[in-house]
Amino acid sequence: MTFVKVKMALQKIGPSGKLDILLKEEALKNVISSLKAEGHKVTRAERRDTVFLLEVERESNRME
Amino acid sequence: MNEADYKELKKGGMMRQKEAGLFSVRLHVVGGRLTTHQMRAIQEAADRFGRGSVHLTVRQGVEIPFVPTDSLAALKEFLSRSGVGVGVCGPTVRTVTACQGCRVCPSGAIDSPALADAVDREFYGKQVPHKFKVGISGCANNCIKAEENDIGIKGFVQPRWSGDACTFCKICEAVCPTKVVRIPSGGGSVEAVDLSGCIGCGDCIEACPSGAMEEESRGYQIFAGGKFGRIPSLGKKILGILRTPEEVVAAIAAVVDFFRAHGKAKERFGDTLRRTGLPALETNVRERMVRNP
Repeated sequence: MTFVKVKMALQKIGPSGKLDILLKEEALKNVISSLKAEGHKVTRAERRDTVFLLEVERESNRME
Repeated sequence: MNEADYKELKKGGMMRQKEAGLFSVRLHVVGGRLTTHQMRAIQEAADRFGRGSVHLTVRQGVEIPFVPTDSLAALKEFLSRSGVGVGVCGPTVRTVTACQGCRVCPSGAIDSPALADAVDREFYGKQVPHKFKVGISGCANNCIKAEENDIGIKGFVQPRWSGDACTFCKICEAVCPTKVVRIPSGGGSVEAVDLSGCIGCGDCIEACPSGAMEEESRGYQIFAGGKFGRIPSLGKKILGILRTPEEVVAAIAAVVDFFRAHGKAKERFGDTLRRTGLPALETNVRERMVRNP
């Protein structure tokens, strides 16, 4: 479900656009591996207390 | 039927039922895989020789119950024409269980069905002091419950950390289920993964955003002496990580010979190991594998 929400948010921004997402630890593996599988890039990641802030760059032409 | 005759039938997978004159016939199934052709033959056999039902066993096998004694030979002959063999029971190497492995499952690290076939070809039905079970899980998720088997095998993904590519976000530390990944804060070539605690799940590799945590290799982790039944106990890790299916088969051959040399009748392998100690097995298997690589 978390990745579905991220994917929907990515669809609202243009190709190569950037999106910041906050993820709980338990969602990290599935969301990041799904992002990588769909060609998006995690360009920055840092811990913010109990969650992680990820900057995601949308894949340039695939999606939809 | 005298006991000697029954023992022979049992060895061939035909087990006496509570009701006199009826048998439940165990079939030879490897890793829970059957073709539809085989399934149709089993259906036909259950209708013709049993009472139109089959039993799915806990170790991925199939049994046809309610077969009268005088139909056993005909059933065996009928099934063999469709490539379905009968199973084994008694003090033998039993059905090899396996998951679908890396060709089907996204989590799979090894080709479990192919390894199951190789192990089955080499050891199925071979005589040992007591029942001996082999189970193969394709990855650390361990759907086959490797540690419940006399020999359990698990696929293992070996991670490698590269300080140059690392952004030190420490997501790998957060996702590691055993918390063995420890990334140095300021860079450098510090050992990132303590292999003694790594379960080879590959989560750190999948979650790494920068590609600093990479897959170095895949292999096979071996567990020995597990069982379920009345007094369950879990198998213990032996031999480190093996690299090829051939090494796994060679290791099992050495373990089976060790069991034959040291096991007593009706003693499960785990109980033999409690008498001999695990190091005796490991030393013996390593020596064998060095002599016959």
